[in-house]
Amino acid sequence: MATPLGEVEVPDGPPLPVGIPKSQIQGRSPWYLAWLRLRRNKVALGCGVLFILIVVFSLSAPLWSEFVAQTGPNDNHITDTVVIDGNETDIVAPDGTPLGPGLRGKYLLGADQNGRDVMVRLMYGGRTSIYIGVAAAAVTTVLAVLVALLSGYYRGWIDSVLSRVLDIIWAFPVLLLGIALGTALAIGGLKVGPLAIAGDSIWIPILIIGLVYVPYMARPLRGEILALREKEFVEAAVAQGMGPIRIMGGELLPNIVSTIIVFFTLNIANNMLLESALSFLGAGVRPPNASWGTMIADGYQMIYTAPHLTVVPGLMIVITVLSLNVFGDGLRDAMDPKAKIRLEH
Amino acid sequence: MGRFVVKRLIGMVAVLFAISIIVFLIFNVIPNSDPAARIAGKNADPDLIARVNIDLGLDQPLPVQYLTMMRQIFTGQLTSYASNRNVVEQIWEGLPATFSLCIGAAVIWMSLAVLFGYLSAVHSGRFADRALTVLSLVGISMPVFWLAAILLYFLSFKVQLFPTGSYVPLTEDPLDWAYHLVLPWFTLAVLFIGFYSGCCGPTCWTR
Repeated sequence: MATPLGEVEVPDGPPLPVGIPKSQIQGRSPWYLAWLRLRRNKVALGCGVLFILIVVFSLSAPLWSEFVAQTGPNDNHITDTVVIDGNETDIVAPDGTPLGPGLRGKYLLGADQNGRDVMVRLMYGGRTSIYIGVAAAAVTTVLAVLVALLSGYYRGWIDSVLSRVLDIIWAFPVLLLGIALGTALAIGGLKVGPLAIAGDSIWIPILIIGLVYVPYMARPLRGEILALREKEFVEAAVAQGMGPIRIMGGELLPNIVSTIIVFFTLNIANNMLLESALSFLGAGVRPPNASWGTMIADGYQMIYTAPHLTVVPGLMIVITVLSLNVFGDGLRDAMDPKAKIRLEH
Repeated sequence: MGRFVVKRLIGMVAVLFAISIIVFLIFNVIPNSDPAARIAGKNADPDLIARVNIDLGLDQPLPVQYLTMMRQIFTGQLTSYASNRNVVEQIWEGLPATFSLCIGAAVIWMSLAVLFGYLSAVHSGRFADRALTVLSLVGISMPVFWLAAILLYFLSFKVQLFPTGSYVPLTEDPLDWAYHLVLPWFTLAVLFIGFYSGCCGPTCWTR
């Protein structure tokens, strides 16, 4: 049979985990085997735990804000003072220099130029950044899987049309498309039929980031589906009289789930980087709302006098994205060591 | 083969056409950015705004505006209404700096990526391989604008090793040109070394 364009080799099965008695492996599901492989990869597991810890840290923002810092993420305290070591200290000095980090409950990481508590903003910003990362990854995944299933199953003109649409999105530099859509939608908001999103809504960056990464995920998935489509089990399903939807959902989809899971994890990391870049350029999260990107943008204006405003949120981004990348990498190795799937930029 | 190339070329033209329409529409649906109102200044009377609109051809229907824009693009007459200058000229002006940055950074990241990829393949599974893998992963996990800001603070402001900004043309002083570009080159390269060295080389974490 002729091989379709862009065929991807689908391995018949990843090799079995090594160093584990055969009795434990035989008859087990691929998920269990993947877990056995992942369990041996301590670095990846550690990074998965680290990401969960960062999520918990961000989710506990209201507790810290309420009981320790006693201020909200967007509360300004330009003219207020705080007692440190028995001395009353300006939160923002008369020359505009904000309080630096120090071991105390209030202003643990110092203040920014508006006298806002950096620690509180960091935690709330983490909620925003991680939420955007995960929600945008969900948008990308749903759209990419739909496109991949449709074009891989039907092929022909449906594939051509969908591939050209992906080409169009692909042709734009990710950041440029993000900025153009971000500024365009932020002013007027988005109104499509019954769906109305305000310009300052967090869903504007989520939809933009989710959209621009669709081709990067849909293309490799489509390749996998095209290859799977040629396999005998699809022929058997057709012969049994299964409809297109049952074949796509019940036969093809389960075979790419492991790829989807790996892509989803790596996509969250990419999304968080794009969110920070868009927010830094003023096309992402709207101020005064905190996200790690907007915090860098705010802090960058004072980098020479108050570098902690830039360093701290940036470090959080690096740690979070790094943990996701390492965990996603380990996940890929565990699920399918032979596969060469990689999220491109 | 010939048919395949022709089909692909037609597809490319169609995609380019769609992109031009999308770009045109994105900047046309921005509300509150009526260029006529901006040019006419604050508190301009409606007559003036209407006249500017006619001058710029903004009173025409969208398809006509689109055709005008495309004609100006292909004849190199496109003019920015914000700065009132020719767009092609402005692109030419920015070209030397952009190319200096990109080519220099690409040379660095390509050489380092080959070196890193070679080293981690030769020392596969050993410390050097793991260390390089970590380094590459850290590189691709950093927002590049943040790295730039941090390096600027520490290497240009604290230690004063590099200039804090500005660009010197290559034709004016090649040494000064390179001196001003070293930091941006390496900053950009950090991101791409990870991608091009294969990031994970032959082994990755598991062995």
